[in-house]
Amino acid sequence: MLARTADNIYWVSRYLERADFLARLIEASNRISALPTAYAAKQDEWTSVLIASGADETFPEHFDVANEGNVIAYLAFDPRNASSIRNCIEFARTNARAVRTALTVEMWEHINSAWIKLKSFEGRNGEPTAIDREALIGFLDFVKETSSLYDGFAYRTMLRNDVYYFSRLGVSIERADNTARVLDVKYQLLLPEHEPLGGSVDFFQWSAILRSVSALTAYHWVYRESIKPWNVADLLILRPEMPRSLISCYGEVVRWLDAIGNQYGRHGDPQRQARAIKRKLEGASIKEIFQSGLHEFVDGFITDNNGLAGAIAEHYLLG
Amino acid sequence: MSQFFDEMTNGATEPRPLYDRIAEWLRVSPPALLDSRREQAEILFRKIGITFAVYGDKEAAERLIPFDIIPRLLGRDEWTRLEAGLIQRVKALNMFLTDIYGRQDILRAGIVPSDLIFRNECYRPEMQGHSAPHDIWTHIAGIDIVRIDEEDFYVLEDNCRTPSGVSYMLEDREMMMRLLPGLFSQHAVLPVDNYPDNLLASLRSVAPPHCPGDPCIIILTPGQFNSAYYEHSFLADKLGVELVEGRDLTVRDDVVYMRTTEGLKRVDVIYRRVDDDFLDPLVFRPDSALGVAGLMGAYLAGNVTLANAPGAGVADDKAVYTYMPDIIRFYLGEEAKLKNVRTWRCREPDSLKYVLEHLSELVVKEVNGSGGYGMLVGPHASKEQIETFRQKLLSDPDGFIAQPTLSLSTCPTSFPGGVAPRHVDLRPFVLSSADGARIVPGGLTRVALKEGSLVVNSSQGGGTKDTWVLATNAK
Amino acid sequence: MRARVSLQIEASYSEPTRSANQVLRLTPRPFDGLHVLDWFVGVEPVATLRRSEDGFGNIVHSCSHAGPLEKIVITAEGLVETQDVAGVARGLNEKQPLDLFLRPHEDAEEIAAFAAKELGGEKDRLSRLHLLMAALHEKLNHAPSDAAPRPVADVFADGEGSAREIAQVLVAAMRAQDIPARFVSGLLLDGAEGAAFHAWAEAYIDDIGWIGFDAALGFCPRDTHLRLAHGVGFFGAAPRRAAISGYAEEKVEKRLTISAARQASWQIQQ
Repeated sequence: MLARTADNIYWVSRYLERADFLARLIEASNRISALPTAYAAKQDEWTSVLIASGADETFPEHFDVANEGNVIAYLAFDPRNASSIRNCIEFARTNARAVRTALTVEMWEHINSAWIKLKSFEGRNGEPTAIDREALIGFLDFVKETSSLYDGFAYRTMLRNDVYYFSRLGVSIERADNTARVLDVKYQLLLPEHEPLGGSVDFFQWSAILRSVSALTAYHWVYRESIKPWNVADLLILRPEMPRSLISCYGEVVRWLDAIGNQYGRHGDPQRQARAIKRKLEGASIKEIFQSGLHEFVDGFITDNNGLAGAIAEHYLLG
Repeated sequence: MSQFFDEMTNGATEPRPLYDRIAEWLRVSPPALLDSRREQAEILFRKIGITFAVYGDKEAAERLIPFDIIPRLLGRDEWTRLEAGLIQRVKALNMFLTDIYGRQDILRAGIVPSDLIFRNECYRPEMQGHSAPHDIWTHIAGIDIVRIDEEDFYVLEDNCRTPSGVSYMLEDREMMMRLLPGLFSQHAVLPVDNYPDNLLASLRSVAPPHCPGDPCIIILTPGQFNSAYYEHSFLADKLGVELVEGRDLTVRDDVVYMRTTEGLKRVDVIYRRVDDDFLDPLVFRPDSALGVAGLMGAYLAGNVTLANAPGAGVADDKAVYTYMPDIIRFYLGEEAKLKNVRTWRCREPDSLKYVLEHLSELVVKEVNGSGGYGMLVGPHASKEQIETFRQKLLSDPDGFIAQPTLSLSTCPTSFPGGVAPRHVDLRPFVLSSADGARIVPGGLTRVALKEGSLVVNSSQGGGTKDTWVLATNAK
Repeated sequence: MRARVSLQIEASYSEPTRSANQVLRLTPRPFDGLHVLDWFVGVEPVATLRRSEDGFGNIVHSCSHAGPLEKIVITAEGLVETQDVAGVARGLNEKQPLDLFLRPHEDAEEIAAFAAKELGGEKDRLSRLHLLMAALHEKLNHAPSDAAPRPVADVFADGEGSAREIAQVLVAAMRAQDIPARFVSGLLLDGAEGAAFHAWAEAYIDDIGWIGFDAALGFCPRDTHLRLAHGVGFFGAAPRRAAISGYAEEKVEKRLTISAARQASWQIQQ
């Protein structure tokens, strides 16, 4: 398979996964900012959203204030933001178009239709000042649906060969990165000193974190108790049954890299690095993580994950 | 409308026998049915993403080529004549190119003026003295054909470089079978869907001689922003070959490789849809990012076959076109089976004088232009446009030819709420391979959708129709 | 004159490049005014140099390198003997018809007008060529450089250019006069300042053949001009064309050393 084809396939998945994540992030933050002031530390919410989405560096070039309207406009529709949802779908479609024939007809037609539909949302929501909340919810639903359907079509229609493996690999790497970003931005809220005192405002922050990785319901199924910060961290990092946890993502990463290695009859750097990261997660306990520093742990993970993404590019995608 | 040959009625009240069933279908179908079929077609085309980019039109970066649901019919007898003419013509084109880059007999014999060849940018001195594998230069040729009466086919233009449109020929057929299966089954339509197979066989036949067993064939595209990208990906899919861009290839020691997830893989045949100018930055335009450095070296060393061959464009020049009857006679000792449209070469003073005096009646074309850009259609032009062209002609007469405004034939075409005749042309695709020529019965019918318009180019508001070559004769 | 020529081209990249391909026209082809006693082209890191002849009859070496690559060094050296033949290039392997060298030059309207004005009513072709060379030598200041040439119209408007830019302007002017003209690249044997490569134009005159005209220096090539290659324009005769994959910047340094060759002499025991 052409290296560039693999690269395009991989990035279609990454962009769509990122769009999905951004949609959930905006949704969760929207809930917090809708609360009366007493329940949430509002002023920081949108700034932290910017940081979690990696848009905090470029945002000040275009806006003065990080308020709801500006941040949503920038994250959702702004073509100047390289990782806006709009651009994610656009880039995903551009990548898909470049390798149209490597996708199944269903996948291509779906992503092409989504791109066409995107244009209709753009017309209505382009202005940063007036965000129509109802239209926004419709849009975010559309984004989540776009990613889910793409995944579904991939699962249902693709041949199980390297094309499929690279597509899945993109999802897992991106998903691990997204979960880690949320942890990185919100880690203070999860530290022990934030012991819950009945009806703490933090409750809403924690549930927002869970929401942003669509794990609020999952949390209750797994822990069967009220939301505790260390449980939130445990769920997002170490719980294999939670599909967006770091360990779960790395189970997938290793699986797809092994599948690729087996098909080509050669295992190399990417496989070795992925296994090492997975082992690190498997050997960790939430207690130790808190002792040695949650922030340091997540930081280290992000570096490792990026390192692996680089090795994958070097080994397979650049040819 | 009586001045034009209408392929359905030929000016009579009764349709030509060939069109009996179409006429009947049009008579009984309520306009709403045609409208709904047309809309269905558009939705399907957009969904598959059959679009093309229009140069200089940023707003509509991706546009659909309108598709007309009324097929255009040819009888078997008509096709047989056309086919023989096409094969003859393409054979002569290949012999001409072999000669130009080789012995140059035709120049010495004074049949074609030498300056016409060598002053043309499309003549590639780099190819001089090199023969193309199996003496095939234009593996895929698109010959534009028009009719003005029931008898003759005229060649409007030869396309020897990277003719496009074949994907529309195939997709239009799929669309018709899906939208109007009843009408389709009433006609015995000769199939075109073996075109990709024929193309693959042709490309395989010209693989370099050293190539062991199964040659690695690829399609080279300038990328997804090219106006014909859809076609490139369509063909790669149908042929089951990789669609590569220049950056996917690398040349080491005169061998071309593509970069794959498993390392470098040797490439034997490249169906390139990249123009000569952009093929290799070491030989042609140095600023080209679309090509592959060292590709020409590999080609000249015989390690890879390029289809079509670099330099083939010198044969489809509009000025060389005017010599085609002489070229066919020179190499084949036969008269051309397909007629040329009467053409004035503005480089000849008498012709120039005539053309300048009759600008408002003539179609003036740039010798090196393509796609209907830089073209004057006299009868439809404003005074200013005519004056602009007069100046262009005076300053560079060599750059232009002129032809009479052709009375292109018309075919019934469907519009919201009705059916009306519109002008059409036809581009059949001729494949040349080591074991002979192949043509599938049919081609791309282009239709000028604007009333009275004679410009069928898709970039200028033209549409397409499915072309049905029937198993029955027209007469 | 007899000279030992040594040219070194060192190309270094801002970041390691994944691959590099090159075409070199660094080997002089002998003709009536040039005897090549020995000549060598080499490249470092070592790669297969394939020698061929291009469509103009120039001697071409091509090579490819797989990366990662930080630097490529090309060496061309040898011993040549040149003669002053008044610029006439006779005895080359001419492969192309004159018509090719009459291809109109793009954007040369201003240059054409200038040429027509300077020549007035002069009829004799040789005199016209000398007049053109002198006029352009007068009009264009020679600023030696090995950079890729700008479009002729820009150079002409600027009033200053490298030898290769001036040669292209001269070619355009000659063609505007309907005289077959071509671009020649080469080296100067009497030492060049600011640029390793030199360039001039050749025009065709019936009964004589191709004659060189150097508008940068203002005279016809002498025995100090070492002819390397010719083409329709610069790019067909360029001494080196290279392309790398990736986005690294290429920095090129050239070193040309010429020494007047000594007569062979016996070594004697001290």
